[in-house]
Amino acid sequence: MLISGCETIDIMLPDHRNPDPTTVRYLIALFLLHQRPAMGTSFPTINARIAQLRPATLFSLLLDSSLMGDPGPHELCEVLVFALQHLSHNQPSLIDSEMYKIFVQAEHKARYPLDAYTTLLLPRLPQGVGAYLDTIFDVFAEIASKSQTNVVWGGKLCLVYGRTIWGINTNKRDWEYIYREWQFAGRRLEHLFCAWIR
Amino acid sequence: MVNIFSFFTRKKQSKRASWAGAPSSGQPDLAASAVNFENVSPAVKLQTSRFLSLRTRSSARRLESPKDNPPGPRRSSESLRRRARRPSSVGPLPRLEVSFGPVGEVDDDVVVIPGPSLGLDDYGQTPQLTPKEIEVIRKVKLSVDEVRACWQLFGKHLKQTGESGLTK
Repeated sequence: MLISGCETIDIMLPDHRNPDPTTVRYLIALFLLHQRPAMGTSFPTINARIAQLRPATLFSLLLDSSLMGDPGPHELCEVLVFALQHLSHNQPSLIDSEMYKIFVQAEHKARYPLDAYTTLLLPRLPQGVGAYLDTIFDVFAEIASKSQTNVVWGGKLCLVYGRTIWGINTNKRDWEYIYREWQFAGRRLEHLFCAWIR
Repeated sequence: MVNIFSFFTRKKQSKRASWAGAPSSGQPDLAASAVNFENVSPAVKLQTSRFLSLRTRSSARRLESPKDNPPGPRRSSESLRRRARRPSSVGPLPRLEVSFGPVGEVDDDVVVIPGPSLGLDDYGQTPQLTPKEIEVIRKVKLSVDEVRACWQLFGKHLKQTGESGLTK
């Protein structure tokens, strides 16, 4: 029986089996063209394959047809990780540490209600960050629900990608500082993920 | 006039002699007593060859008959030896190059005749991006909304190939 997608062992982990770099780059390029059709001149290889009529629609069609061509789960995960690694914003971090502490205290005070994520966290987040976390947690939950097969649980994903998802901008090269930051971000994201599940 | 039948007798005897090795002193040298066929007149030669050909044909007809051709391997070792000696009349088959793949991939026993390209070289293949395009991808910066859109789109496909390995 073919097992693929979220059931793939070690899915989303950095040391998974070799994804095809050509497919990954092609998917990323199609996604970029889908989001920013003006970048068409930056990808003459892809432009040469399509007609010049309504490029925005065509990129969307190309992307859909490429995805329907069933790229492997590792290729899809590479694209997801690429998107996280190329996140850009102007703040020190996407989720403010002070805001997080206030959420923790409010949640504790309210005795950990089931809707803590939607009533206590989401209103405090910057615009767009709530939907961003929601989408990521949705994929994490799907992978974690198959942890008996893929040996990847939610805590592991949060620990590996927590610092990246948290969007920490730092120029410090101190290994201890970065490691501590990585641990904090992973644990905090796991807490938010559990609140989202609850 | 040479007896035609002696030709066949001599031929069989010479084969038997070569099979057995050098003739013993007690037996007459049959090869030496054979009539030199080159001294026979052309008319006799023609008659002989016709006779041979008729014999071959008639034996072939006999073999074709179901009564005389029992199923199983052919018994005649002479025909098998003749067949093995015959050089193969089929040489390497020419192959028309339709440029579906790289031209350099050629088997040793296949002759490639270069043909016109059908223009389908890269059909169905994922395009290879140039180094410049790869550099564009490497340096791109995404906003929070774009990352969300990426995870929404690709995450959906990752989830769809989940349960049984088949796309839902």
